[in-house]
Amino acid sequence: MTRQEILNELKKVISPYTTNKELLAGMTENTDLIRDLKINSANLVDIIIDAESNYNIEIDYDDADKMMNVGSCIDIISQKLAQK
Amino acid sequence: MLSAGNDIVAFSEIDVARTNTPQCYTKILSEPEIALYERFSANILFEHYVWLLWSIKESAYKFLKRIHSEIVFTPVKFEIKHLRISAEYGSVNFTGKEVTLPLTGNVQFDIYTLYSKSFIERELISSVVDSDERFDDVYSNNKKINSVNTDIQSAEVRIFLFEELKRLTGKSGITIKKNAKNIPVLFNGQEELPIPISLSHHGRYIAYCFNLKISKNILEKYCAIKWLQLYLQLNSCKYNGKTPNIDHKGSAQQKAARYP
Repeated sequence: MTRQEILNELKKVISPYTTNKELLAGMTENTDLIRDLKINSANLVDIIIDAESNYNIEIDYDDADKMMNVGSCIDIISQKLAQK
Repeated sequence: MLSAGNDIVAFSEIDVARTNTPQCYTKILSEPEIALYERFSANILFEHYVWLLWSIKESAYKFLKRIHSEIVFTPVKFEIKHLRISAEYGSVNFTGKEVTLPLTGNVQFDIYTLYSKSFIERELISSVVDSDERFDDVYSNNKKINSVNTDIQSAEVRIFLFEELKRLTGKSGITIKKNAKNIPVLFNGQEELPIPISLSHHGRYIAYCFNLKISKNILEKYCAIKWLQLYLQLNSCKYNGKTPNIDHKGSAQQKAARYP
């Protein structure tokens, strides 16, 4: 998957946890999940679990703590997909 | 350490089934914390235990982030070392609602140990942390609002905090700005106030926490006399005990003497 394809998939994963659909539609790699999309930190766990299911990967806590913006999420998902 | 950290979790927002899966709770709890649950299983549902510990960990993260902005939130690395059902049980009254279970504990991250006070109420878990076990200078409160819109919650929690600061000081016009590290800071006009705050919202609940401990260094930095006056003014106001996790002991003079 290309980074753009992962980003497009991520929009679907993140969508249930943000009410800011306009910002979600314009989401880029620099978008911060908490500051920009106003996602509650408790929902970051949900996003990680949904991403694990969606891509059939396992994200441990050392990886999870880097997933603060969209670009870093794509980095982790790309790495995990490459390891499969 | 002078800082502030709080967090709330609204039960309405918890996915109970998901929380009870290892895939979820192992991302929040360490193995010793999972084992620790056995001691509380008669009092606390597992899903509430998981989010109770989350709220303590998030509070500790917010407290330390203000001081060390490079810290990232990895829940498993913030370890709850002790957790106790508090002896204060029954002595508190949270805005007319029944407080079901006050808890105290401590949480460790790297070299830092912080103390926590939490309660589990009918619809809410609420936690605050401080570096001082007495929590003498920590003010916090929670409130239910009508909106789940995050922008409205964000505005409401600021109004809630400003109302309390105005009640305590008579001052209005205090504002909050986010600093370069995205941490909320109080301002009076153009002057930054040396009062650390922490804000939280979840579901239909909002909460604030602030710390009035003013160290000698900060007093010197921010004009000692002026701030000592404000400090005495704040502490001479008899706090009405709205929050369950505050125990204000000693007179304003005693408090001032403690932080000369």
